[in-house]
Amino acid sequence: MLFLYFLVFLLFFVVILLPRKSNEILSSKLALSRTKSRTKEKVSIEHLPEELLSNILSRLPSKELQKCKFVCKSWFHLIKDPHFVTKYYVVYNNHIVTNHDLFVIGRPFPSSKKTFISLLSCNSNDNITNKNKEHVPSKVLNPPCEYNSDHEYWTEIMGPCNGIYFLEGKPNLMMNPSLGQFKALPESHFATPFGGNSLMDYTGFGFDPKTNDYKVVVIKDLWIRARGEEHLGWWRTELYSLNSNSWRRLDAVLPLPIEIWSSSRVYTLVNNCCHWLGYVEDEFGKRKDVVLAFDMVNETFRKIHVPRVRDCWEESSATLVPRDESARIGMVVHSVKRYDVWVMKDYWNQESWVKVYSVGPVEVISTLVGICGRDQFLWKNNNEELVMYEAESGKVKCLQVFGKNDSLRAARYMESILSLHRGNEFSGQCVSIDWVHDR
Amino acid sequence: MGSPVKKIMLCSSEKEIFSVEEQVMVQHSVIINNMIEDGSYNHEESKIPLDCVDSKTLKKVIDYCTHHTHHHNDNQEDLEAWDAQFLNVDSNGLYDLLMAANYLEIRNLLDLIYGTIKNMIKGKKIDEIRRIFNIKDHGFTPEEEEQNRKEYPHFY
Repeated sequence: MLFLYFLVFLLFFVVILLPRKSNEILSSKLALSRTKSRTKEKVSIEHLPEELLSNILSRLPSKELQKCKFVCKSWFHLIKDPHFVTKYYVVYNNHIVTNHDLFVIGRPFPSSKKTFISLLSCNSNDNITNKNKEHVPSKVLNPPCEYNSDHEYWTEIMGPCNGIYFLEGKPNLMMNPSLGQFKALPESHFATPFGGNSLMDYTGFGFDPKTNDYKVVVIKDLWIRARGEEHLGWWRTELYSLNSNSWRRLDAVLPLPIEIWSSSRVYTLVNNCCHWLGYVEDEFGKRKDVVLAFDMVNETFRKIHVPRVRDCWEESSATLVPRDESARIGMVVHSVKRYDVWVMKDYWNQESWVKVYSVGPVEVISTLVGICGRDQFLWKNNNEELVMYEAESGKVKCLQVFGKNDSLRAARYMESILSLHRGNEFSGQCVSIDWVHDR
Repeated sequence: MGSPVKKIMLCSSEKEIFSVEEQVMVQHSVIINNMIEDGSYNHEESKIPLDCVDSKTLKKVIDYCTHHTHHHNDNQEDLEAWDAQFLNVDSNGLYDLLMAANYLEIRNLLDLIYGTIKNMIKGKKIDEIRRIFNIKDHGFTPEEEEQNRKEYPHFY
């Protein structure tokens, strides 16, 4: 019996352990040829590490990626991945394209004509030195007629915010021009109490990274005729969320007293906060500039103090601008033929405003309507033409936007594959429109 | 007449040894630059084992680094022409080079290969892309594939 046990044990040893030992010797001998055979395996683009594949795909324009989604399943998943969508926006716009294209909207005179949305491509005659850059109209987007009546709207471009632009109007519109995606926002259904009127809506647009949501905030300046000629005024704020595709009332308290200028003109989203330029009056009725900020994440308002950047309010105007790749807020104060650029060095310290530089005399400037790259300002001149002024070189370029335009606005065009579609059934009203070649 | 040119040894997956000017590799490869800088490479005894780079690919990588070290003053056009000729390989050769450039962190070679592969995709129809890159199994179910073809016929 004992012998039998021994035999079984021996057998076990021979069967299990011995081959293992010999395998070890063999494997070390085979190591060379095995690694050789591994590298000789047919590698295919499907099996590239995801990081390398994403580096390749990040170099393609968004239109190409719409196609690449259907090449194979692994590409499909990569291109849909939110991390890739974010990476693509940064890599493509900052490292792959060296020329900044411009996104322009305008409403031609007479105002019965349709608002146009066009793309000015930056063409360089000399690829190596990048000299003689020229912006030429290349493509136009024609939104559906119901989005484009002759009412007064689309007077601002809010964006780009991760490639999404918001146009204020009736209806309000979110769009991703690279995907040709338009989404009309539903109307806010909140009734004004006591039959009051909203004299003016002040709108802001931004992204909340915490909930991965795009939000529109509207401050309504409400008035009601109380008794005879006496008027009562108050504020109310509402917020639209793309994720829920609906409006809700905000309890956020406005830091009163404050008056907001009707038009901001240049989109200033910094630190997840959108901004309006406003003013307060001191006890002698003298006006003083202030900035109103709305935090998209915390949904709170904040008043930012501004030093005396101008003496004469009648002869100069001020516009808020983003500075230093949207890390700071700045202000362009312009009067006849000259302008000053101010910046608040530390976003959380309102005492840190400094004047960066002054420019002048410049012949062309009339209204600041946009900003392109660092210190490339887009102005409307006295002939209602769009001109670009580069502070560094002092170069003035007339951009070829033909015809006289009311409410002309321009912003940098950014490629993005971020879709406005959300996973709920109520937000299905996205319309796709293709760019068509201009002229 | 100055010190002799310092060399380092690179060892391919087939255990073939390549002797290269140290400066050439240090200039281009982040990994090798780090090894030399932190002293983990011993000039007397060490060789750098590159287990996932075969001899054929390693030779090409060395060619690239050598050319770009000695000809970096050439005019842009000549360099571009040389690069184009250099990358005139089949898609398998291109992947091998890509993996090697990634492993050794040779940034300008990586950029060059990324750009080349990008150009192989740009403007092409899906069927063409699948053929070029030898994608046999796209992974979509027959129903999905049919649906995609129906919805986006211009892509195919």
